[in-house]
Amino acid sequence: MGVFDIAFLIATVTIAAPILLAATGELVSQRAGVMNVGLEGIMLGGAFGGYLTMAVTGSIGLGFIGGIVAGLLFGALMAVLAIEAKVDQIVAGIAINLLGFGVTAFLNADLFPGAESFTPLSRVALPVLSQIPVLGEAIFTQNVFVYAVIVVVVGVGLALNRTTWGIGLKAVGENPVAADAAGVSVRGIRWAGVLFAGACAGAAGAYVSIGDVGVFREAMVGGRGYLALAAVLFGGWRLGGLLVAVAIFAGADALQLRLQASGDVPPEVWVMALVAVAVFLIVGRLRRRTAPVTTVEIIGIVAVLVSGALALLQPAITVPAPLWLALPYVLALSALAAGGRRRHRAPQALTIPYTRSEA
Amino acid sequence: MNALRGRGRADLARILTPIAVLAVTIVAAAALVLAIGVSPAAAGAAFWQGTFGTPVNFGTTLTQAVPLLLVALGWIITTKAGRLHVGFPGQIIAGGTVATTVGLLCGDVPPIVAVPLTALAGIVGGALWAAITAWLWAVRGVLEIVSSLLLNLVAVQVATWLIRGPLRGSLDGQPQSATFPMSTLWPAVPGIPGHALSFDIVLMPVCAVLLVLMLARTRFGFDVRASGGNETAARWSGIDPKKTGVVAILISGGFAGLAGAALLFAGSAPWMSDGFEAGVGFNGIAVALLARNSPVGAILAAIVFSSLNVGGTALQAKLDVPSSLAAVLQGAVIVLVLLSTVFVHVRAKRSLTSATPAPVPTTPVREPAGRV
Amino acid sequence: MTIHTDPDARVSLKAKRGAPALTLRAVTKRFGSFTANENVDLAVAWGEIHALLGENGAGKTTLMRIVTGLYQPDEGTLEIDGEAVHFRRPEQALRAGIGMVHQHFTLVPTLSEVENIAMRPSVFPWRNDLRETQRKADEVASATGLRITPDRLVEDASVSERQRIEIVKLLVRGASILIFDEPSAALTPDEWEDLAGLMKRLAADGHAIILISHKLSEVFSVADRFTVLRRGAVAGSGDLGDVSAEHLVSLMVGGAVDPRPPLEPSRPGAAVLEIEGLDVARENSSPSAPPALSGVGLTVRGGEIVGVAGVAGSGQRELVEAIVGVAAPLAGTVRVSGVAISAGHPQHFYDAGGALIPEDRHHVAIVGGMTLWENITMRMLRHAPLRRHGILDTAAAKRRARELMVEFDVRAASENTTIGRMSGGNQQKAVLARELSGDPTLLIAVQPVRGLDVRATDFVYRRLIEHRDRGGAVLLISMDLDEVIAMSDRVVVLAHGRMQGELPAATATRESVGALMTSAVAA
Repeated sequence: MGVFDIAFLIATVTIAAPILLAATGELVSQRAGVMNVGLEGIMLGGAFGGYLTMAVTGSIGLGFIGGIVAGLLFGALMAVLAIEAKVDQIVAGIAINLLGFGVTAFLNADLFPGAESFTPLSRVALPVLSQIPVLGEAIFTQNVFVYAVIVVVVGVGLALNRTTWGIGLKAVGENPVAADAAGVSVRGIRWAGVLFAGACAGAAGAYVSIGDVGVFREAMVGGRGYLALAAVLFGGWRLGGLLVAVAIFAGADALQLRLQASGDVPPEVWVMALVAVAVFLIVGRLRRRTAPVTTVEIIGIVAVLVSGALALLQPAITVPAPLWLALPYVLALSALAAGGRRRHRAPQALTIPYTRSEA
Repeated sequence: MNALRGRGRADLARILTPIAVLAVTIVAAAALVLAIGVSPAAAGAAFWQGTFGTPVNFGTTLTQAVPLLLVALGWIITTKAGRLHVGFPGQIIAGGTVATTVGLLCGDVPPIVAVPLTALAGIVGGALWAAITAWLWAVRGVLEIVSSLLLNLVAVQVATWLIRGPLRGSLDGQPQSATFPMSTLWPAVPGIPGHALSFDIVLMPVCAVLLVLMLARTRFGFDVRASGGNETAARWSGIDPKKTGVVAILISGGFAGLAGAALLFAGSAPWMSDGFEAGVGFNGIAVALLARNSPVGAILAAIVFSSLNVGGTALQAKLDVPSSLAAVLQGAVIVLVLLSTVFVHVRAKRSLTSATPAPVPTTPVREPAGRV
Repeated sequence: MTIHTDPDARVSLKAKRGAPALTLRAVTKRFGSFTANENVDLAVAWGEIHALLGENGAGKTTLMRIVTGLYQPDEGTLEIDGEAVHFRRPEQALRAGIGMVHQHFTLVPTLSEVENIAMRPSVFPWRNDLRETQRKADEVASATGLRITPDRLVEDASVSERQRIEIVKLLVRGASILIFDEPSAALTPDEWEDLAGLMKRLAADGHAIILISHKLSEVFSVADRFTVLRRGAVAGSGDLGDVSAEHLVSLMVGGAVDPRPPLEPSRPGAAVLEIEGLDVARENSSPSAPPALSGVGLTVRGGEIVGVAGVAGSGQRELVEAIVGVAAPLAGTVRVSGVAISAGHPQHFYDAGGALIPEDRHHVAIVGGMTLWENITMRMLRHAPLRRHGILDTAAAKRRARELMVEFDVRAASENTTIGRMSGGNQQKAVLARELSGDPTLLIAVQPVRGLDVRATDFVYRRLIEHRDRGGAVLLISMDLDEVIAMSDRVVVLAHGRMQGELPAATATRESVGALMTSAVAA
């Protein structure tokens, strides 16, 4: 059906992978009680670290390791500020963003006056799995990074719910006093969480530079870090919710890439919007059947009607490219706004440093 | 007696910390410059010449400090109210866009009306963009830090579209607005060539002092500090922390919007183009952090940061040092300031525990970032 | 030395009864120039219930933090089974078999009960210990009768159930020396009886138990021996069979205490607080959960103190929130001096002559980072003459604050002192100064003396009674039955969000009030 073909799905998965990896790391960090707003800066660090390592060694594998090391360094800085120095976490994150941008831009201008480019990761079709219709092509005929992200996400899911470490991590984010009383090291777990988030963001950044396009440009992460952060919040600090959020953001990005080229907005986009909003409304209604109609629902119904009308009338609407570029962010904002009061609360100790004497 | 001595020591630390931070930053800068093969002495001379050495350069440094200070004041009032938003880049762009629109319509209006009108347009534009963040936070419970980050990205794209679309000047298809009418340009000190020293530098002391007075001597300022100090206690005592927070965010948006207008109408180029924001939004936050949230201290800090930017450009022109050196140093300054406050805190805490056994919550009580 | 829950270890624990379990010798702990514990000796034997007594600030908490490895002593030694031990981390104390049931439970509400019990540092963090934990919890259940509901979230458990989870958690980890910190604070009298029975059974099994309490009746009913701390040092110790309650009190406060004179009979005037049919939803819970308050009605008249008795979590917080107007009730009305209080506008409550001394000073009553004078005049600054056209008259406000500091005996270097740096007692007096200075018609006091020493407590009580005698209305909400009975003219009982009945304070006893609480459980 026109815009929403296999190529669209493939693009969505490719775009989603780095955001999902960074968001998964951030989820672990936030469940331990540390909100790392510096994700964008860390991803830039990872992107440049990967690019630099690859330029020196020529190996894309080592490049990713370089990205992870850069991410770990920034993560360690965040941990020192947030856990040891107990600085306001949001301020510390802002500092990391600025530093990440500045350092990578400076080093890039100094070390690579003329940009070098490398061959990005190639696609590898997994045996058997790639034969599955649609999904086989969309998910199992991707590059190694995408498979690695899937492994990491599944691993984090298991670790959070099925291990002693996961229990300790959730306890540290929720009630560090209780964790401390039970002998769980609040400091150790928070360090581990922040470093893990740094490593994930670093690898995701390396993918953005060497894995995807094979080159580094100033500020090339382009808001993916912020989207990952938004995905954690919209996902209600649950892995499942996070997957949905990343899918929405990445889908929007893939969509805008195709629509930039196509000129008029094709009718199936309006149908898709109609279906998406309708599903959202119905799910929300099912959850609280008796509650009165909310403003969000009225806006949603209007949106359904408008998109329905647009799908039927098929007017020639062109949207300028910059506005398409803003689409994922606008969608992320709308998603956060429409989410409203969520069932899942934030970890209670999120952004609050732990000092034992208060126990 | 003891308390008095402790107070004096704390004041000394307040003054010494920024100086120590600057010293470390200068050493780091020298090391970086040396690392890329430029003599630190030559770089230092070029830096001085490019920032304070000539009346024109000095004027440019002062004029460019104005938007930085305005953003810093916006950050100070929101943090005092316990709200942390970083939407300044977006608000600068929004304020600048509205001011551009108004300015382009003001061709036949005398300067005495046109200049305040562009400033007011900037304030309104910035406040309106901030209103989205404020509304999302107060009504929809979206964390202001996240919404403001996303809105920055949206603002960049919207402005990109505007100057290629509706706002594009007729000249040769460049992605920039038409040139502003002469009557709308903010007046500059006549003696200095090239409009280098704009009269808008009076905004610096005026706005900083007004903010100090507002925080200390008005009911709204009291509400701001109480809401930021302990939101629960403020609510229980009859203050509405939501209303206070919303107004604080709007005021900060107004400051940022005014900064946007200043960047355009007191800046080097009399038209709006891509990237006129030039990192002022985030650097303004760094200015406030360096000044440790003191509005008056922020004036000095803004001049320091402005000199880093102006000097960075001079270094690139003269010695081919990448101008992103300024960005590195600015990031390093924030990290150093954060670490140094901790150092001071630890010292203060130690002297405190020796006086009273009761643990004192030195970190402000902040509601957990509970709601999305 | 580790103790397992398997039967052999249990037998060996039993066999050790009477031998020294935990011994502290000459323990001293200083914070700067302040000495929290000085030369403290404490000897607890296996199979013994040892009461640790003392006023607030006497050093009990510091001592127990040393025992549980949170603090390290400056001087002195700890011995378990006669062997010296050094704890540098809480984890080491836990491994040595020392476990503490904290007054504020150390449980994670969003985790299930079994997950809370499984929460522990682990050699192989990727292991899943839940099944093993469940097996051990079953063993504890068969040995002690303490059962948990493994898959229920802790936030859905009642207060007494949470206490049970805490105890199981410690037993599963092999704790043999158990410390109970004010365990009855959140329990009804019946639930306390159950707990007392459990403590005796555990002691009979050979566990050593330290009971921290200030309720002497409870101490006499379960404990064998006692140690009294005063100003950080041991004021006395011995067998409880040899001493009287009066003697223990004089050891605690350092001299005989004049009993407070009984309240003069009240002369109730017009109704000041009228509550009708109040329903309040429980925060953060599904709509099907029972409401925090249902059908609450209450009237408080001028010139009387009405005490609200009830264990923690019976709906006290929601009641105060609804009266002040911080939270919206589902149904019902609240009137103060005839003015209906609307939710979301606490200002109306204060304008109608209300005042509030909340339980949680740090979160609710003061802004720790602001100065003393700003905290004292916080409310006055809303009105003329201290505020004109939004501009504050700070000089006049400081003057007023200085006057109130004298009147309410608030001790601080100056009115410019940051309130967060003052002692708890002085902070409470500052709150009292603010709340009573506006001549309120209605004063709501929630646990007003919690954490205060004898002198400060007396001061607060005297102020409450003075306020009543001047014709003011007082609503006293407390989880301490003795306080409610002693300080009130009338006692109403709140249990499970319902008003269970009313008693004149003159004839109320722990038993009669307790019976009203329990009737709610049966209902």
